[in-house]
Amino acid sequence: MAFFDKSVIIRGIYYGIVKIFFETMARIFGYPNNPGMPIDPKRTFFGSSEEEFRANLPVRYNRWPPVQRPHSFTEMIFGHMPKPLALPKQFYTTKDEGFYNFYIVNFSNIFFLPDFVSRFIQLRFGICTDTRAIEGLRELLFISLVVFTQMLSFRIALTWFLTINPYAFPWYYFSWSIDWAEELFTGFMPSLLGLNIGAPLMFALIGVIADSLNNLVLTMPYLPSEADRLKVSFKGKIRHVLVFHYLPTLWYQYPIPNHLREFWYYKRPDILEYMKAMYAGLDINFSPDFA
Amino acid sequence: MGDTNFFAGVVQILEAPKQHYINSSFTVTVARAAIPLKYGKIQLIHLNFWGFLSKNSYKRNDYILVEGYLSLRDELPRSIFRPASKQVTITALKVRPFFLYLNYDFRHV
Repeated sequence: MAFFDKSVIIRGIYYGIVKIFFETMARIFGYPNNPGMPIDPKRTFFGSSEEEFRANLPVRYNRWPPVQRPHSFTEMIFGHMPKPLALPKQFYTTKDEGFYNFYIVNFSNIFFLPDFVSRFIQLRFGICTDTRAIEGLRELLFISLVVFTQMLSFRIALTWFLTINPYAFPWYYFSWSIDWAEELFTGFMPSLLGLNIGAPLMFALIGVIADSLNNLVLTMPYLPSEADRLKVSFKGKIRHVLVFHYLPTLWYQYPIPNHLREFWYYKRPDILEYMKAMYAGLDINFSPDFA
Repeated sequence: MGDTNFFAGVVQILEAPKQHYINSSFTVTVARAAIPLKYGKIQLIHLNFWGFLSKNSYKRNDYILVEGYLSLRDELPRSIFRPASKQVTITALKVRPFFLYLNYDFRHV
């Protein structure tokens, strides 16, 4: 997020220059009196356009590094393990909507997997309500990005110590593990005024990717396109939420995963009974396959 | 007809329709429904009934004949592949009952 905050200032300066340029050009054609060609009205939805709605959504900020609250002695001494700060999902159960509903607060910078990717993961890998496997993958990717950033900054710090030769015995293993990335970036971005901007660019890019991992929302067992946009009053304030409710689309279109049906049959007969009564008119099999 | 957004066909209501009040006199009823395509394949849609059409008494599992227009909505703030994540919404202009589900289980509702 820090990279974006910096870039906003540069963007503002750039916009200002472009604005002055266009206004000077338009003044030749009598700009303030002659407004030019009319612009198409924006598409509106309940009084406000989509762009306006999205612009008014709050932005999710993740403080980095997160607030340190150690729970054990190892955490007290060595600090926290870096962890992705995922958007919390609030699960709820109603008589009408079923057992697997959840909602998330709507922000302008959260994003979802595309529908076909979500469908592929759910159908091919059998990941349904339990998304710990994907969350573990995300955590792994996040930690490796953070570790790589630390290694990169340590590699840059090494160049300050003239007594240490990073291309001699104990250090060159370390240099080899980092320099490939720097070479890759230097290939894309040649040094500017004798200054290598590859490394700062790499920091920025890794930061953006890690921050995006924080804002990635996994919507299993629902598809991302099933979101319903709603407004709720929370502590006297109106919040925009995205609700995922009712029976997931994939359960209508494809068989429900067998392990889930077995779970209902053996552990939660109330869910099974509810599903059978609620969706009686449909051709959905809620009982497990006894192979 | 003559419009690509026109829709006329049989849909099955999947969940209990919900009535929302826009103001004291104006209501909209929203329901999820399915267009039965072929055996085992369905397309899920959102049905919107505005105004006097919203005061209907259709329930879950009813088949109804709907004439209306299609629209594609993008409810999500951002998606990498936009066209793949759109909701199909049908706003009904005319509604008729087609096949009403009578063996309705009232124990759980």
